[in-house]
This record gives sequence, C-alpha cells and structure tokens, in this order.
Amino acid sequence: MSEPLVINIQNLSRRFGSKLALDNVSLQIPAGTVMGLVGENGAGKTTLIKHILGLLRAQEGVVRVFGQDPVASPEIVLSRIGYLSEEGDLPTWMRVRELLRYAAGFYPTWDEAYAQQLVGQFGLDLNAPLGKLSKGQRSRAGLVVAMAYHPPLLLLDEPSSGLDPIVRRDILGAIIRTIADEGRTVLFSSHLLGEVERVSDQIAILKAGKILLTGSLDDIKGQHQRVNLVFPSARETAPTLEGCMAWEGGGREWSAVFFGDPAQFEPQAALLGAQILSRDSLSLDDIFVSHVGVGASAGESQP
Amino acid sequence: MSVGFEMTRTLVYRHRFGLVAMVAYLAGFSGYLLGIGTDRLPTLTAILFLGLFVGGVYLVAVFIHPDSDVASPGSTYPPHYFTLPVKTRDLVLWPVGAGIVCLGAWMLVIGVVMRKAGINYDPIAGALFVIALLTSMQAIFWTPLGIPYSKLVLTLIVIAGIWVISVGHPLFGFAEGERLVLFGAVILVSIVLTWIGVASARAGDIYRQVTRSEDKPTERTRPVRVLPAFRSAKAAQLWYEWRMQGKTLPILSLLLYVAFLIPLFWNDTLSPIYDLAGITRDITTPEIPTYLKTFLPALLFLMPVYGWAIGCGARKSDVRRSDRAFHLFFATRPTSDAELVWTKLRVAALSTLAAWGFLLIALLPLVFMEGGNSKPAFGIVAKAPMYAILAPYLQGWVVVKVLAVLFVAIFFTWRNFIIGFWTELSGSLFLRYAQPAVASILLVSAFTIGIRFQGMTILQSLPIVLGLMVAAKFALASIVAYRQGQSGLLSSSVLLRVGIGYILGVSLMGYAVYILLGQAIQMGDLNTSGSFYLQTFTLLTLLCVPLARVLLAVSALSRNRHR
Repeated sequence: MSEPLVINIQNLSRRFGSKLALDNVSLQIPAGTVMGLVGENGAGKTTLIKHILGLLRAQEGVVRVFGQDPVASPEIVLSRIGYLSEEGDLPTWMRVRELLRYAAGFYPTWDEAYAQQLVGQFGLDLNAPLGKLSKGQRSRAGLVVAMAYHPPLLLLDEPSSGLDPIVRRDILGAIIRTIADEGRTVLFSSHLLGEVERVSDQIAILKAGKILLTGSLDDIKGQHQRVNLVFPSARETAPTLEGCMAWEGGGREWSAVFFGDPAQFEPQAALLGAQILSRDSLSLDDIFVSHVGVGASAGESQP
Repeated sequence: MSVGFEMTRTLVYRHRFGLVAMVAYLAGFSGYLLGIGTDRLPTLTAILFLGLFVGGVYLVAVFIHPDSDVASPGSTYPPHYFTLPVKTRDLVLWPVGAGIVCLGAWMLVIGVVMRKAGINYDPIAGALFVIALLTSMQAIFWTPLGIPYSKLVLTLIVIAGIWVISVGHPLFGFAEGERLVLFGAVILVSIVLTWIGVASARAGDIYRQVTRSEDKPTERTRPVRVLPAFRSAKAAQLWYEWRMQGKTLPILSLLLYVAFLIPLFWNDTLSPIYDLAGITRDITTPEIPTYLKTFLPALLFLMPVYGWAIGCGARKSDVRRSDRAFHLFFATRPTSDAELVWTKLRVAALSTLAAWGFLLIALLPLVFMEGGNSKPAFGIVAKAPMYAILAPYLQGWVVVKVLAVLFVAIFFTWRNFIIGFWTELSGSLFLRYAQPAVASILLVSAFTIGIRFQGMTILQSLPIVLGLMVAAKFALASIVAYRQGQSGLLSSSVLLRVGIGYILGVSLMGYAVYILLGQAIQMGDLNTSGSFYLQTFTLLTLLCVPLARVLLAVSALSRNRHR
C-alpha cells in the first residue's frame, strides 16, 4: 500500500505580472520522503515553497498539504510544518531564549528538552540577541524553532545558502535526524547539489517555472550516463543523436551525456560507425548542468 | 558633478511625487488664500492649513531619511553612502543644506502668502523654527547614540524645547530678537553635532561597541534566566506585540511628562480659569500656574497624536522596508489572520490604558503646587495648594465633564493607534500613500460642491457631507463583513462581537460628546442652534468609532499574507 501524500500539487501555475513563475507544475510527495528541489536562481523554487506554506494563492491549479488547502486553513497546515527560510527572517531584537519561548506558544507538541538539546549542540547562547548573532548562528536558531516540535513536514528553502561548511553540516544533520523519525517528510531546496545528493531520495529539477525532471535519485541517475566514443574519422561538429543532451570533445574522440534507455543509444552510434569505449555514471551536478545549463532546453530533456 | 550634489539629487528624485504634490498643494493653497481671503471661509482655511502642517512634517521626514528605524541605537544615515569616495563634510552638508533650502523656502512662501492675505505672521521666525526642528532631528537620527529608543527620548525633549522657544517666549520673558538668535544657535549646534555624528557612524563607532560587548568573556557565562514557555499562541503573540509596539506609548508618555515638567520650574505666575468661576456662587475665580493652564491641554492633546504616529508605523513591526509582504516570521506561524489583528487591537488598548494611567497618576502630585483665588479689582486674594483651591469646584457635573473629556481623549488615543492598521497590514503602497490623499480630495470636493454649487456655507454642508461619509462607511463595512462571512475569514460570532463592540463604543462616545456639547451650548460658546451641533456630532461619533477599518484590517492582512 502506498504512503499517503503529504504534498499534492496539481497543475499549479503562477504569474507575477508578465513573468510566468510556475508553469503547470504537478508534484506529489508521499510521507517519509526526503525530496530535494533544485533549480537555477529564479527557477521558481521559493515560489513553489510559498504556495505550500499558503503564502501565495494558487492562481491556477490545486495545492493540498496534509489534504488541506494551506490558504484556507493556515492554522492547521502551518502547525504541522517546520520552516526555515534563507532570508533570515527572525526578529533581531529577540534573544534566543525569548525566541524559543515565543515559538513554544504556537505548537502544542513543542519539546523543550529537545530544543535545549539542539541549543547546546549548536552552541547557541540563550542570552544573545538574534541581531548580534552571525548569519550561521541565526540559521541555527531558526533551525531549532523549525525542529523542536517534531513537525511531520520539514520545509527548508535554501537553508545553507551563504553559510560555512560547519553550519551546513548542522542543517544536513537536522535533515538526517528528521528522516530518522519515522514517517516524517522533508522538502528542501538547495544550490548545493552534493548535499541534495547526500540526503535526498527524491529529486525535482525546476527550470523557468517547469518541472523538468522528477523521480528517485537512483532512477534519475540510472537514466543518465556519459558515453565515451571514437569515430572512424575526425569530426568538426558533434552529431545529433536522439537522447543526447550534451557533447564534449573534438576530432575522433567525443563524449556524450545521454538521457534515456541505454539500449537506444548503441544502434544510433553504430549507424555512424562510432565505437563505444566506456560508460560512466553521472553525478547529480553533471545531470543538473546538462539539463539546466546553457543550451539545454526543456524539450531536449523530456523522456 | 559633485558626489554630494548627486546624493541630494537622488534623494529629491526618490521623493519626487511627494514633493511635487506638496508644491502643487502650496500653489493651490496660495491661489485660494490670495483669491478668496481668510474672511469668507475661515473654517475651510483652517482645514487647509493642516495640509501645510503635514507637508512640513513630510519635508522634515524626507531630509532625515524616512526609512530609518527610530528605535535603532545606531546611526540612521544610509550606510551605503559611507563607502562613497567623498568627504564626510559632503555627506553632511549637502543633505543638511538641501533640507534647509527646501524647508526655508516652503515656510517663506507660506509666510509671504499669509502676509499678503492679511494674516499677521513672521515668515523669518517660522522658517527658522522648522529649520531648527530639521537640523536637530538630523543630529539626533544620524548620530550612533548606542542606546535603543534614545532617539525618541531626545526627539521629544528637543521638540518640546524648540516649541517652548517658539511659542513660549512671552511667557518666559525673552524678546523676539532673542528668539531668533536662539533658533540660530540651535541650528548651528545641530549642524556641528550632525557632522560629528555622521563622522562617528562612518568610522563604525557603533560597530566597535557591539564587537566589544561580544568579546566580553562574561557573555557566555552569564546565568540564563529561564523563561516559562507561553501557554498559548495568543499569549505569545500578545507578548510580541507589546514588546514591539505596545510599550512605546507608555514610554513616550513618561518622556513627554518629564519634558513637560522641566519648564514648570520657571513658572511663577497664575492665570484664572474663568470656566469654573461662578460654580460656587462666589465671585472669586480660581487661578492655577500659567504654564499648566497653557500647556497641560497640549500635553493631553499630544497623546492621541502619538497614538496615531505609533499606530501608523513609527516602528514597523511586520512590514519590512524593502519587502511589503507580511513578514515571513509571522506569516508562517499557525494562527489565523483574524487572531493576529485581534491581538493588535488588544495591545493597542493595553498600551493606551497604560500610557494614560501613568500620565494621570504622574500628574496628580501637581495638585500640591500653589494656586490662588482672585477677585475682580483685587487680584489674588488667597493662595493655597491647587487641590484646596479647586476642591470646591469639583461638583457632580464638573467631575462628569472632566471624566467625559478624559474618556474621549483616551478613546481617541486607542482609535488613532489602530486606524492605520488596515493600510499598514495590507502592504499596499497605494493604500498607504494615495488613500489619505484621495480621501482628502473627496472631502474637500464635497465641501466645495456644497459651497459653490448649492450656495451653502461650510457649516450648512457639514451634516450632509458627514452623512454621506457615514453612509459610505456602513455600506463598506456591510460588504466587507458579508464577504468575510462568506469566505470564512471571520465567523458569525466574531462579526457579532465586532458589531456589539461598535454599538457600545458609539454609545459611550456619543454620551461623552453629548455631555461636552451640552456644556458648550450652555456656556454660549456655540452661536448656532443646539440641534445642528447635536446632528453633526452624532454623525462624527458614528464616523470616528472604527468599524470598517477593523474589518478591513483582517481582509488586508489576509490578502497580504496569502498573496
């Protein structure tokens, strides 16, 4: 039996003036999933997350979180979401202890012992005003607030943007801890694909408001490979082969990033007289660049 | 081109719409005053003068950088200018000079127009007064004082001081020439202090102070006072609103009180209160210190004004300067839009009561100051503490009337505190800036139509205009309430409570106004029929108790929170 959907987005579109920020996006995230949302700046990641939080109304399409409309029932939905934004939106005049005290009032499931454990682990000074903390320390304080009530859904919007490796490690640790709690779900957006690759079991790649690719990390990696081949004679330009997203090389030796069923590639290469030398798996970074990088287009990457 | 000139040009360009609107208003006002004169429509002229006052406040705000956080301990001078390759002298003198020229020109033009229209007014003194205000505000705001809220404290003290110089010079016995010299001294000292303050901020003084405090070894070892968690979201939000906005008004009332007391020590004359004469069927008239008689009403009047200033966002709680969307920190808390607005209303009430409570208690010891009784042709015949002098006059209706005045003042403080919520929470620039202008234009247009085309006097058209406004208010409130009920934004029980609150507020306000109105009619202050005033003040009472604004605040917040 499949897990119930924590997030269910159907045909969501959003326009800001003349700019189409989200274009017919559909995304389903079952309970217990860790989904990494990746995309360029301005791809629509934050817009998508704001729809999930109910901060933006769906102009077209439907957004349901725990089966509820987050705009119509913010109290119900938000009480089950732990949210950390990249913007550092905590009130700077509050002290850390005041922040925890304030936040505790909103969540009946607030776990003070767990909050204090996280404060100790992150080395936060309870007396310090948030305005005097470094950006990394403020992120840690925000993380404590986002996690201390064991939310069923953890939503992290570029949580490690601009932070040092130690804070990033703390944030990754938080995600891992949340995963360890059975049935909890994480959705986080990031530019740091190494991190996404490390903790996610599902990936969604956004480009210009559209979801280019979504699925499990293993499946996505299995669909992509780098094929190194040698042609019988030197070539000035790369050939056009179905499923090939990018070419590199020159003369007789070329390598291609291929997306799709590997069995489709070999007959096409054989027709050109090319000999396949080796096949390599791709990192998420390579996959992302091949889909989103210069020259890549949505049409090229559709399976 | 000088960098300083370019900075000033940018500042003026940024506020071009406001400045153009002000110039247009001044031109219209001048044309009106010179064309019609002050005799024909004195009430309308007085109303239009308010626009000039607001324009002056706006100009001061432009040249002290209006985006600044008034509670900040640091300098509010825009820090990105500090990295420009330009001397500190230019950073200071260009905006200061531009402000002086603009405000000076503004006041001089007003002064010249007023004199042409036959109003006795000294344009030089007026210009120096506002320039002294501007330069002293620049000195206060651009200096990194290092203490939160210190800018507010100093602002109040300085404004009180300049005000005393401006209007109190006959009372304190210095001549007109000396007044101008005093203004000049304030301006010069302020410019020097501004220069020192900006240089200090540019050198990062406040930053060094923060760094030093962070380096203190005791910071981490200081014992942490454990705070019990709030029991509910309501309690947490109430605490937040109080810390953020609620405590400001009581603090201001304390500072205002201290600033009010200082000149009292120089007062050694008594003035009669003729309104009380005759109540005891005696021919004596009670007298109290002149300073108290002159400035105590002003002190009490300032409280509703401060309520308005705070409520309209002197300290912006949830709307960031660059991003007008509802602050993420609150928007992502699991609480309803109505609950967020309701908490703000409650904190406004608590803040108002705390401020007035403090002020009234603090004023009580003043009854031990010396007062007197006077008789015609004899002057002061007996001196005694004020409580002894005034006690015989505190009879039934006098007490009721004093309480009515206090009720109206307290109510207006709360009302002014909250009337700006619906625009502030909306995050809409149009609502914040254009809506008051549009409302003012409609109001003036309605009066003008009545006067010009219907041949009415301004007083005759007043009940009609007010009646239209009341009708518009109820229509708007009904539509908003219906839509909120339909969308589930407000439950029918909440709407019912809002309605009951409104009826209660109108009843209490109406009764207080009725008492005061009766006093005014009885004393012959009003030269028109009582029914006319009763009609007018009933409509005004219906208007001033906020109903549509409270309902709109919830809708505005909802739209802003879920864009």
